[in-house]
Amino acid sequence: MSGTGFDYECSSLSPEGRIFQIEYAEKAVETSSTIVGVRCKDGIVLGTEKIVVNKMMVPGTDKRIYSVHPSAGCVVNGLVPDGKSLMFRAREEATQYEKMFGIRIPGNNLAERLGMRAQLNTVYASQRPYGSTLIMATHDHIKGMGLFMVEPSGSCFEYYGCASGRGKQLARNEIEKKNFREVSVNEALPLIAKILLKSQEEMKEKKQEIELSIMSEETGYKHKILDRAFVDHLAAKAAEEIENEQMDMA
Amino acid sequence: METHMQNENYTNVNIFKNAFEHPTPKALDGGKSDKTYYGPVMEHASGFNPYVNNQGTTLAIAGQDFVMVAADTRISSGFNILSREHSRTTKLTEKCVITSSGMVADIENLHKLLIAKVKTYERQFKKSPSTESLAQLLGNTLYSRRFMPFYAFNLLCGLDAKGQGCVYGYDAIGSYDKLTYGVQGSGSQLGAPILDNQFVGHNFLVKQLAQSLQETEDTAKDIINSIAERDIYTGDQVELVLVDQNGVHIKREPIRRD
Amino acid sequence: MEKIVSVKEPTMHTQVPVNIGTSVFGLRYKDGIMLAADTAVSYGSMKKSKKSTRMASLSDEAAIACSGEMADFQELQKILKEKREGDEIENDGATFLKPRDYFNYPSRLNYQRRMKMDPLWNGSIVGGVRKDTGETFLGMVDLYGTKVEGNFLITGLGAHYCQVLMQNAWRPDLSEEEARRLIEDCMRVMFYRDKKATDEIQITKITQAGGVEVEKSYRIGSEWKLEFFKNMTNEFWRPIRIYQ
Repeated sequence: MSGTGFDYECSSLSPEGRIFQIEYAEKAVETSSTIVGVRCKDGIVLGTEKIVVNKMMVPGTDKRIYSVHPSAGCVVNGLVPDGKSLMFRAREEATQYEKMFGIRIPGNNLAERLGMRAQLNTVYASQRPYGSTLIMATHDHIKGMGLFMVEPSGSCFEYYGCASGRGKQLARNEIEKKNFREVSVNEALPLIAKILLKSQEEMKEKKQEIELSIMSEETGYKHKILDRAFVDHLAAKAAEEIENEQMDMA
Repeated sequence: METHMQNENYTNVNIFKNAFEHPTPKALDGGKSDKTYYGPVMEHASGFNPYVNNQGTTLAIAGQDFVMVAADTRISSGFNILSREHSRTTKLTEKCVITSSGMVADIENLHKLLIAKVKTYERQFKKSPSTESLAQLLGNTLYSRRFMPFYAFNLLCGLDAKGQGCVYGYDAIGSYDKLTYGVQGSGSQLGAPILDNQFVGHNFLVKQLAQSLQETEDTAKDIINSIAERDIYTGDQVELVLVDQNGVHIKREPIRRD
Repeated sequence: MEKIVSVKEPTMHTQVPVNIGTSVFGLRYKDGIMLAADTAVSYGSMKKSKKSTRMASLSDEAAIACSGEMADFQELQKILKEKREGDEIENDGATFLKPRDYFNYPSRLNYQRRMKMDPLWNGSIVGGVRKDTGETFLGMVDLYGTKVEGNFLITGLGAHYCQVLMQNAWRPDLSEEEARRLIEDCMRVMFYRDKKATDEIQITKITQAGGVEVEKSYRIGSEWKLEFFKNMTNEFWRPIRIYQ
């Protein structure tokens, strides 16, 4: 991809009608960790895999799943600090809305506002787009549950299941194959752990970690980040299963 | 204006007439001219009085190598007792305490502010501030709020550079003086003459600090007890704080609770 | 006619409370803390609402009951809710805000607002029981930011009427029933003598085992068929007359 002068800032379109800065930002997302969001029968699961780059880093400090307000959570990839900044924006929006209108911000409104924020960064020469994608699970009293994905371009849609990052194709296929809308959150968790591990196949020699969060009927539609011990246990099981499958195939 | 109270009173003779009648508004030039001013009368707008006196008494007596602080632990709001075990005295350093009477919310704020300032000093200079420095600091802190003063009457008590006991007495806006003994609060008028009688004051030519710790403690306790006999805002417990070479020691004893 | 000089109105802040809730009670008992308030909100001497809630849970181990301006109470509730949720969504497995923090915060807030000459016109009682240690907390904070802790606390007019009742009846080992009866007795006194009180009260219990339970309001009932009241007619009433 060569911009021939059209890629220095995102205030101009190329003759083909592309904004290269956005595409570079998408590139940053595509080469980073896989994140998934899946809508199940009774709730939503968010998840991400990540590579432990530095052995000396304290486990559990590289967080990518955050709560926005008690019943909304998000997961980010790409340039994680960028995603975090977008998450803080989401928290601000949620607080501000609640102060103004006295009710929790509806999920679609929140997602829409984040989309608008991300889009604003693709308009001015002095700014660069967010180098990360954000998947958000929400629950409100108006629309119920919702799963949204905000991309660097500012595009924002609601999904039944979505994925982003280096394993997005594989993850999407897997999500489509399994009809998660008929599976409960608790049943879906090991499957999603497996999908996440599979999606980083080529990085297998490095130490891998996954992070999961749920929001379901069981948690009272509160976003709950699952504790590390439980997730590590799931991951170990999933890894074992994957190995068995490969043995069978061989 | 004249009929202001007439309809509501059972009598035609309005003995409160003068008290209830509004004074005729005068011109804004401070009454220099005879012009009558018909506009709204400018008054302080708020019906909210930010100050409340929670009363209570505190006293301190400097000794040769110690300071004895005695204070009651009662705080009131009007005729209501808010608490019977409120401490008026806060330790600032190993050699210095502050004890105050006045408005509890302001006092707590002031004490916290001083603690923060002492901590900053300790980090910066790797030693505790001297009592003399703290005395000046407290004066400046109080004066910084000259136009919305801390409703706090303080005694800063500690050991000076020579290890002698000293007491600094303040007014609410930071004017202060080094004393040999001091008393503040609702019982100060009752306590001051007893202290004058029992100890040698700072305005004497030959300054003599109290020698015996036990005697000083007993007298301090007695004075608070005596005040509690006559001052309704003083009572419940006496909190005795001793500052000497070994640091700050606190103990409490019950006194009359009525 | 002289020229009328216009004087610029100064910035207006709350000068008097408007919708007022009367006294609230709080006491320690064997299992934890009990907070109580009646359900009336007065507008001057009119009861604007006879069924409002004047207490709220702040977390799963702390609750608040408020007297004074109800708008300010609701504002305080919003602020504290924001604090709690901010603490909750960190998802770090820790709750930093302990009952005492939910007490210190309003105290500092009230002090700050007093300094602005724009007070939150409330007398609040905060109670809490820590889930981990079982430590109980009971504190009262007023519109100046004054903090008072104690075993039984009363705000407003109730402090004048019921302080002694409480003092005589309170023990650290009060059972739940005894505590409830004590509060009901106090509330009944308030209903007889405080024109801004009703006989419908609400209680919040905070215990280590049960957490915060904001109960439904209920009527405590009252007795007016006493001989004195029945016979109290005009002959008991003497207008004060001067010079007649």
